[in-house]
Amino acid sequence: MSLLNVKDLSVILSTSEGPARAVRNLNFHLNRGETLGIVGESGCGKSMAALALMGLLPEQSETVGEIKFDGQNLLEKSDADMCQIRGNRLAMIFQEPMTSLNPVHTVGHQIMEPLRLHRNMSDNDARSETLRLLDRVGIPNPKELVDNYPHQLSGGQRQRVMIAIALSCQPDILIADEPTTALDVTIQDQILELIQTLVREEGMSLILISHDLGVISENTDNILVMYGGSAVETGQTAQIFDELIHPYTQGLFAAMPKLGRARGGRLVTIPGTVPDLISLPSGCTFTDRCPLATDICRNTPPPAVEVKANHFAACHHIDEARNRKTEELFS
Amino acid sequence: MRFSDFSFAFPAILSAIMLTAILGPGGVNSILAIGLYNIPVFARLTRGSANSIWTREFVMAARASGKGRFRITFEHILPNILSIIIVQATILFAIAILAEAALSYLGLGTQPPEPSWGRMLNEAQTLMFLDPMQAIYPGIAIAIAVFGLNLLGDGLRDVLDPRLSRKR
Repeated sequence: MSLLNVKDLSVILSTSEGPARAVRNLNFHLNRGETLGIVGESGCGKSMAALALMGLLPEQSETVGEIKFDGQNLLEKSDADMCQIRGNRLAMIFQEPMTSLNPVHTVGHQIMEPLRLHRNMSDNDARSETLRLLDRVGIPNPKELVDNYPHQLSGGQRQRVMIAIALSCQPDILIADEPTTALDVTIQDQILELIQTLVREEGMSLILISHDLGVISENTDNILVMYGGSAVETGQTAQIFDELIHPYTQGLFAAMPKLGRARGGRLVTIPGTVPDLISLPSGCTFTDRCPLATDICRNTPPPAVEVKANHFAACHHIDEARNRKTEELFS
Repeated sequence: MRFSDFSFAFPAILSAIMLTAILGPGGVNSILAIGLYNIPVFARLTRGSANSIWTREFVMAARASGKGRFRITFEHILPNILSIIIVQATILFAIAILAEAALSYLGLGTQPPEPSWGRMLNEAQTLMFLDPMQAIYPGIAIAIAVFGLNLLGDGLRDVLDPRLSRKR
């Protein structure tokens, strides 16, 4: 049985303009030690899905469906029970290392917190464990840095500290929500490599959320492509990179700038913008931007079809999408 | 918060006069009157700044590491707004001294034989031309106390805010 099993997860946010369905009928599962990448452009519900897993959605929201973690449905748990799980068995790294640390506490204090909270460590034990963790995440001089305040650290160092905090209680699942978006490219690589190594060595599962296909391809076993709050394509990373099926996935790939392309040529884009989550179309959410869209797409939500073993795509025109070259679809 | 809106509708000193008029003049009553009418200022300031801290990312990170609301309030929110509250407290302290002086000047504050700068000013009034220093000394005392408290507020803020402090 999988460690995490998400079934028909929907998140409805109540906004002043009406209910917005940020996540719609999401299904996925994650085995121990596996890595899953969630890709999609801004506003497609990636972060909302992650926050729903952690039980950290804003108060004006409703979550329906089932999140089975280690046999227990997290959505049925009280906040007090979730506090026992968060940081202990499920940990999360955020996008902005600059603001994710409390400016008034030292770094050491903030790493020791979860150790004291979840593992009831004494101050001395927590401190030596903190030094070990800082060393583990590649901070060169833990003894000096442990008593520094966050503003004295660089962005990369802060993200390493965030990773140390997430790692402190040896969680079963690590959720990394765009962990490198705010960092510059050279640091990005180091941080991703660090996450990779730690995940492998500690035997954790990883959910990596990103809009960067390069990052996802190098760091995950499975991929979930999200659009308009629902999954449009899922499968093993190698499989998906081998054959892109859903027109949206093809569009995402076509939109990646490539080295060696003639200078002065225009970059490929997917026409249009992400759909308004408040007034989603009744059929496929990608209809308005899809080059293959027909009437059936507008009115009937597409079922997820298993194209190959464990490779699903939700589209009415799978055969057509498979036979057309990506370049033809988006040019 | 509704109560604080109500008390904001009246000038603080007027309310204090009203309260001492009801409770009767005296040291304790004037302390009560001034104190009560300063509570909403703190309530509003604390609530406002706490709400803005609650939306910050590190609070989300703290929740993600499994802390409950109570812990977050005391360990993350309070230290971040403490300097604002302390600065406000010293400023209000200064204002309260002025208010007490005003109440005593009107005869509603501290009663004899307890001394009060405000009443000293009141009593010196009749002797203004014979011995002006009688009024000037308590006046200077009030000014220095108020100014000193304001300086204290600034100093405390510099010490308490890790972003402003430098290793010396």
